[in-house]
Amino acid sequence: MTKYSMDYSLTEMMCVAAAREVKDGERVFAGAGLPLLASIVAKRTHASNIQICLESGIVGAEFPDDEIRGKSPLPRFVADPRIFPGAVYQCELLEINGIFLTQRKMDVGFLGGAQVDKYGNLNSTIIGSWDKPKVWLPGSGGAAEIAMFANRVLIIMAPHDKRRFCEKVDCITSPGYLEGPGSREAHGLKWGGPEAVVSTLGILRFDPDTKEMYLAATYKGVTAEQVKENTSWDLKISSNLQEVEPPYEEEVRIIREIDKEGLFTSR
Amino acid sequence: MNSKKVTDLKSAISEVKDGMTVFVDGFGYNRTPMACVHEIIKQQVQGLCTLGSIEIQADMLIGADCVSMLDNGWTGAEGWPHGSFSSYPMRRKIEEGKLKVEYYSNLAIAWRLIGAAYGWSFVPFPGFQSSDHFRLRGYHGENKVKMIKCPFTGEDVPVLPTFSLDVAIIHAQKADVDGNAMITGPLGYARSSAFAAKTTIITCEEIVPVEYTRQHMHEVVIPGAFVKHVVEVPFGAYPTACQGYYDYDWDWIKYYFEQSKEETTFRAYLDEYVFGCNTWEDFLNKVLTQEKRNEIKASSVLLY
Repeated sequence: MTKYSMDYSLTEMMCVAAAREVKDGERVFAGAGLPLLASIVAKRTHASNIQICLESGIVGAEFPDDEIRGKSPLPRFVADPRIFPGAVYQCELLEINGIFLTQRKMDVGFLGGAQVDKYGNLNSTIIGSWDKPKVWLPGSGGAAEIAMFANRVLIIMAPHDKRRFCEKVDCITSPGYLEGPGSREAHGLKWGGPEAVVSTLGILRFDPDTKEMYLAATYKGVTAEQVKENTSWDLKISSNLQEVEPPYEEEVRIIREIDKEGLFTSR
Repeated sequence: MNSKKVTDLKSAISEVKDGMTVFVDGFGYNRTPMACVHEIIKQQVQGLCTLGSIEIQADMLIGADCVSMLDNGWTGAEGWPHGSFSSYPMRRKIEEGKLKVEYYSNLAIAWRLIGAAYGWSFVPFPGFQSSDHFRLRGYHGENKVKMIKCPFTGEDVPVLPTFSLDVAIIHAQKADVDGNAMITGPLGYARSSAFAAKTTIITCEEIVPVEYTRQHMHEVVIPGAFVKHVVEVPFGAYPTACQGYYDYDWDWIKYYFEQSKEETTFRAYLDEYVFGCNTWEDFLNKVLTQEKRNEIKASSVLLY
């Protein structure tokens, strides 16, 4: 009998929501942080056959426990040596980004950023105008190519506020649906696009016709009005708005087992 | 050692001269040639142009005014939860007009390097036009990326100029006196950069005899033909990780990024830990206690 947890944090809820978006058997391209944690949770719950890949060139990561020293096996960053033990394949970034992605081998790519807009475009480049940016951010990393070539993209954004969820991002680092239907194709992309956004308020998805983000589900206690108030554009609400199932006890237990030190989740 | 390639850190780094195009390896906090980074700063090299997906080495070299041009795949502080993982020295230097930037992506950088290794003058990146990085222009302007029509399919294809290097600097687990470098763990751009550089410097945890190389041929990642200098520098990647030898020291990495956030504390860090240490051993003796050494020593099973 799967019981719901009575004691979970918002980050744990987000982690579980993201984990549940991953389907069994998929090849998942995850970055360190909540995406990787969610992938590992997925692997240990409903999706034991997924193959977790990282930009440092690892395919099929396993993250075994460090039984002797008790060190946390959760990587802090994509080239953390913790990604190696038990993996099936190692290659360079050139191959994992330049071949795996372009040959459509990545079923899911996780992305984040400083801003996201209603077409799921992400910005991790600059805040402000192109002539005189206010803030200089780290840039794309592998995000641009993941957004271009992953078969589908899952976005994790926190917190859900007007600053982050803006009408039009200041710079499209990583393409979502760009300007709407047909726009990806017009810019040389033959597949892919964002499928869901997991935020601090709920789960948003993309209308198959308009390609616009809409609110699909809220966490317990969150109202649709709250989400609209915290979004810069006129956010559409699903006519069949759901409540996100809370985390199961099992899922929370697994999160706390993996993220022993609370690197990416809080209690 | 009777090889002409084996040398000391100071001599090897003297190859890095003002205004050169340089690549300092280390993807994430992994096998970053930190001893070399300190030495470049100590030798006060200036005006360097660099590229990559780089973190602590970029933060330090930009902050110390060694690097003034950056072809950016990603530059920041991974796992360091402030300012969307930004590099504060990078922000400061851009705002002061001392750092010129061009935003690419990790794959764009990878292809620009390997393309140079193949002797091409440009590389295609189909789909790049879907990112604003195709339109956003920094210091390269017109020459950042161009659009051509594929001569065979007629499709629009963005093309990037390849990027050859004056110097590539890589830390390996082992290297022999002929420069054959054996690397385990994430490779980053180590191979592409070594192939695309006029001069490659390898620092390593241990120099091994060529007989060892012949028994472990499959471990060689960079052949000696592409390597000019080999320097044995134990803990040469500290505080980043070196698979099989030591884990990263997250306490020290965190401490460094706390200091680099503001100019005054960053300068104080350089004075104490870079300029204030004559040799790499002095730096290690200053900060790496025996207790920490034991803590980060790699397990032979998990390799971290």
